Amino acid sequence: MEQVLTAPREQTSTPALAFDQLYRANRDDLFAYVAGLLRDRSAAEDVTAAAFERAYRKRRTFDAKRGSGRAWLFGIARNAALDELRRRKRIAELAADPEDVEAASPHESAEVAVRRAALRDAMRVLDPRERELIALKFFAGLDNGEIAAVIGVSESNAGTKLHRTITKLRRACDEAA
Amino acid sequence: MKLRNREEPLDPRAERELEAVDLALGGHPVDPDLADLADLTALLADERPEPGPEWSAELDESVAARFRGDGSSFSLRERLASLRPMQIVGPAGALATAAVIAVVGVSSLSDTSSDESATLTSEPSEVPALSDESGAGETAAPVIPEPGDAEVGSAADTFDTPSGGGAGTDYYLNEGDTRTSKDQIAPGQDKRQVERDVTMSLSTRPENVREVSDEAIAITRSLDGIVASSQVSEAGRDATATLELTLPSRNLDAAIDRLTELANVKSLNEATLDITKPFTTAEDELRDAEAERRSLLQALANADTDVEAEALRLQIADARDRISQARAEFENIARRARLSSISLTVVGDPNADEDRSIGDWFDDAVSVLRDVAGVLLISAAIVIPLGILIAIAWLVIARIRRSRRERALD
Repeated sequence: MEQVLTAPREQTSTPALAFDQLYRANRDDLFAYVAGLLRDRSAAEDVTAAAFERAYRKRRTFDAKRGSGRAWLFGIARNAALDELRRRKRIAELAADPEDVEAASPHESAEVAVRRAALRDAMRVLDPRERELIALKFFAGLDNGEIAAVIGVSESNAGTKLHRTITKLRRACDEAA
Repeated sequence: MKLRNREEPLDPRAERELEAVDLALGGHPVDPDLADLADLTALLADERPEPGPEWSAELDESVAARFRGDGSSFSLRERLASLRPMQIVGPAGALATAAVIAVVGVSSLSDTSSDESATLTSEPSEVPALSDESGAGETAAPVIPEPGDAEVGSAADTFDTPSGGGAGTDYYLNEGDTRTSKDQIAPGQDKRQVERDVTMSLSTRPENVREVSDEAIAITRSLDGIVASSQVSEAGRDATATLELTLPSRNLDAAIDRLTELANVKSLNEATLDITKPFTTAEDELRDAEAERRSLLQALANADTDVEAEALRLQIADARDRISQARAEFENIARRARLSSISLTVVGDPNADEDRSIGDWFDDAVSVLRDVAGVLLISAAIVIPLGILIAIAWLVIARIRRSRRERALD
C-alpha cells in the first residue's frame, strides 16, 4: 500500500521515504491551490501545514485503488481548506500582496500589465467553486483526472466544469480589456 | 447533496481547448486560433501563489521531524480518523459480536440452570421432609406451592380450602371457575384426571452418586417439587441413593427430561391411571353434602318448635361430618391428580462411564452444536441489523459532513 503513496512517476518501498517524496513533489503546488482557494496567504500556510501533518498521520489509510497519492493529498488539503472557510465564514481575498496586485513588474510591458490587471478583475467574477478549479488546474497543475478525484466528480464532468470556467474567464477578460 | 454526478460528454471543442491548455501549461506550442487561450494560461500560471522561503523552511523542518513524531498534538478524534475504516470496524465489530454472543450465551445458560445452581450445594438433610400440613388430620400430604399455575385445570385448583377449616366452616365449589386447557385434544379432556407415577433408576460412578442425588434434589426443587424422602448410602466402592420425589404433575415431564440427563438411565417406568371417575364421584358427594347442609340450615331457620329445631341441628351435624369426609376424599383424589411421584434410585457402578456409546457421545456433540448454533443465530439476529444501522448512520454522517464542507464554497 505504502509503495503507491508516492509522487507521480515515483516508486519506493519505504513508507517514510514515500511521504517525503510526496511532500517534496507537492509542497508548493498544494500551497498554491490552498492559497488560491482561501485567498489568504497566512491562512493558506497554516492549512497547508495542517494538511501535510494530517496526511502524515493518515498515510496508512491511503488506498491506491481510489486514486493517486497526489489526488489523495489534495483531497485532504481541500477538506482542511473548506473547514477553514466554514470556520471563518468568509472568503478571504486573494493571497497576492497588495503591491503585487497593483504594481507591474519593471520588466513587464505595459500590454502585459494591462492584461494581468484584466485577468485579476476577471477572477473576481468567478465564484468560489470556479476559483477552486482554476487553482487546481493552473496553480497546482493537476490533470483533469486528478481534479475529478479531488472534487468528487467524474473526469468528463470535471473537464466540462473546467472548460466552462475557462470560457467564463476568457469572456470576463475580454470585457475587462 | 448530490447522490449522482450528472455525466456530460465533453464536446470536441471543449476537449480541444482543454488540450491546448495542457499544452500551454507544459510549455508547448498551441494552434494559432487558440493563441489567446495560451496567453491566458500563461497569465494564470504567473498568478500562482508561491510560498515564502521562511515558511517553506519551517515546514521542511516539521516534516523532517515528523511533526514532533509523538503525535501529541493530535486529539483522540484525529487519531481515530487516521485509522483505516476496517481498522476500526473490524475490531469494533468483533468486540460487539463477542459481547453479544457472551450476553446471549450467559442469558441462555442462566435461563436453564439458574435454579439448579442455586440449590446444587444444598445437603439432602436440608430438604424438608414430607409432613402433615393439611390440617385435616387424615392424610399426611405435603402442601405443594404452585405459583403461576394457570395452565392446569385440575379440580383441586377450583376448590377453595381455607386453612384451619373445621366444623361449621363452609366449603364450596367454584363451579363457574372452570379453566380449559389450551392443549385440549378432545371434548372434556380438561375434566380428565390422571395419576402419574414414575420409577427411575440411574447409574453413575460410585463417587458421583451423592452429586447426582444432590442434582436430582435441586431439579426437584426448581420445579416446585419436594423430596419426600432421601437416603444415600456409601460403603467403599458401593454407593446407592434412593429418593422419593413429589412434583406437580405439570412439571413431571420436565423433571424426567432433566433427571435422565444426570446419569445413565438403567430403567424408566411410568404408570398412568385415569382417576376421573373417582374424582367426579368425590366431587359430586361433596357438592351433595353441601347442598344437604344448606337445605337443613334453611329448614332450621323455618323450624317452628324446639324439638324440630333440635332434630335439624343433629342432622346438620351429621351433614357437616359428611362434608368433612367428602372433602377429605376429594382432596385426596385431587392431590393424586395434581401431584406425581418419582421413585428415583441412583446406583453406583464403577463401569458406568464406559457404558456410553458412540451414539451417546454423538448425541452430546449434536446437542452442543445445536446450542452453539442457537447462540450464534440469536447473536446474528442482533449484530447484523445493528451493523446495518451503524453503517447507514456512518454513511449519513459522512454525507452530511461532506455537504456542510461543500456549502463553504456556496
